[in-house]
Amino acid sequence: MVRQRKRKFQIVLISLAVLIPLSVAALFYWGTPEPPDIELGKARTAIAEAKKVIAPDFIPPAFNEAVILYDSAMHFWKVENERFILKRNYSNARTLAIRAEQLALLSPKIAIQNSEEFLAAINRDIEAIKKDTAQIELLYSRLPLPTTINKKYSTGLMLLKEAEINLEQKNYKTCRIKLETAKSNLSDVARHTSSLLSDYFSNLGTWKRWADQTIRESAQNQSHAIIVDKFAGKCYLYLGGKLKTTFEAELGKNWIGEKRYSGDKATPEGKYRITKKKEGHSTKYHKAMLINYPNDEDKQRFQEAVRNRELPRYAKIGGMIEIHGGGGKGINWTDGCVALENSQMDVLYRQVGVGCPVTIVGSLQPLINVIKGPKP
Amino acid sequence: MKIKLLSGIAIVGLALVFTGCQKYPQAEVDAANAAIEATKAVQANLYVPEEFNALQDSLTAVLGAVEKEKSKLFHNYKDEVAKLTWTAEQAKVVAANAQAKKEQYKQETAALLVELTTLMDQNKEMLAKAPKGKEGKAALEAIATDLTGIETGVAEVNNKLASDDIINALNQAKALKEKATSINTELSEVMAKVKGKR
Repeated sequence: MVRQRKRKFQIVLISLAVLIPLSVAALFYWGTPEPPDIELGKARTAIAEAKKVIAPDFIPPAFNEAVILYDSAMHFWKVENERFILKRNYSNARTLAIRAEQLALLSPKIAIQNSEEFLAAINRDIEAIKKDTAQIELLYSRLPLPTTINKKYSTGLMLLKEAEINLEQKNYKTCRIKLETAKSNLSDVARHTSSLLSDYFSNLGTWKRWADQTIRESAQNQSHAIIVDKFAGKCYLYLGGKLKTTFEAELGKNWIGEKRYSGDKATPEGKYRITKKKEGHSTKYHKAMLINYPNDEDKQRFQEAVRNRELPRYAKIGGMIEIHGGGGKGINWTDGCVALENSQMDVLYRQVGVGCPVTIVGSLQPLINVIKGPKP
Repeated sequence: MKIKLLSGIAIVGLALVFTGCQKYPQAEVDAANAAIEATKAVQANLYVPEEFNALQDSLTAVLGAVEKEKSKLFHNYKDEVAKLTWTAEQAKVVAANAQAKKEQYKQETAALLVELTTLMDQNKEMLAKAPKGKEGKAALEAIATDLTGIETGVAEVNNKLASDDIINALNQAKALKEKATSINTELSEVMAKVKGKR
């Protein structure tokens, strides 16, 4: 009896020893929640692939959100892994991972669209700046501009080049910054140039009247007359009211505008006459013809400027303005005179005498024609 | 006898359970993270972006694998530890590559600056001789301003080099060289014409 009971006890014990571990194993096997590794793996792959396609400067918010969601999913996964295995719940991590994958898959499309729009805008801007620059360039080399403006122009062109280099290297943010700065510099130059020219060309009516009077006088007297067009850099010789010869002329360094005082390196504008002819040892510029600057109008304007304190009291009006040789340098370099190449000076010198009218004007053409015209 | 056998089986089972539950490889994870941070410190993301991204992706993948292992009843981090160790080693390679690239850019910039100095010396010399021989309409003052601008740019490049902004320094040096070369060409043509006339 006792033996039978002992045997029964042994059977129960063995059964429990087998069943309990089996039950526990079954519980762990079927009760352990499935980890979100597949969802996170997909999200990770999508993010990695998107990263390959998206340029750093075009990362859309959707991509950043995908990364944040992925990190959050990983965080929740870790938190759940710290809990007792049967109590873990990965649904939060799984949901976040799925959303991260969706956003990561969407990001390249958004980034490509953004980059295409950005690149189109950048290229449009570069083209526009180049077009504006070409316009400035057309006039730039001829205009005496202040050093600050020259510097802005030079810096603007350099920045434009840097922007193009950065664009080639896909450094889009830097490209945009350089381009904006280039644009700002070159716009300042364009604004200054445009304002300078429109102010200057407001005298066009007067210049045309002077030129017409000079040509009429030449026609009436069947005599020679000289007209200097400063903007065109030309010296025209008329005979009997008809244009006979055109010479290339070089002017004062600050040729734009009227001559106001001695040493301003400006070429005067007005109606003058030749008062003296010089050659040999009497001039260092091959041959020269002195004009009667300052005339009465120049003197009156100068006195007014001194009276109005636009010029200092010690300022002098200057003089010794000539048409002389020594030109052909390709730049405006004189102290206010009109310089011709020696061979051209010979021609002019031979044909005109003392008393010949010399009319110096800013331009004979309206500004629009000057801008549209070919670079002289 | 049977009880002894069952006890033996239970002990072996428990031993298997404990040997199967490896410790979370925190030290290796920290080492790999630190190695990635070290690559960031040498701006690997700027100088070798593709290698850097690949490295980051591989670490992210390993960390996912570690967490997956941790989710199991019995953990075995052997493979993950190996991958983490490899990532940390690879990070050193990437950091070295970044530094090499940075050095290469520095040297390219330095070489460009040397070329620029030569070009600028030539330009200044030609500019000094040009006034009487320079033909065409380009104003010499504008060229002089350009040269001043280039000199200012060179100073900026040096400042960028000093502040470790190497890529921008290199790009600016390239733009400056291009500008200096175009001025050099322009002035050389003028000087050639002047010589031809004599």
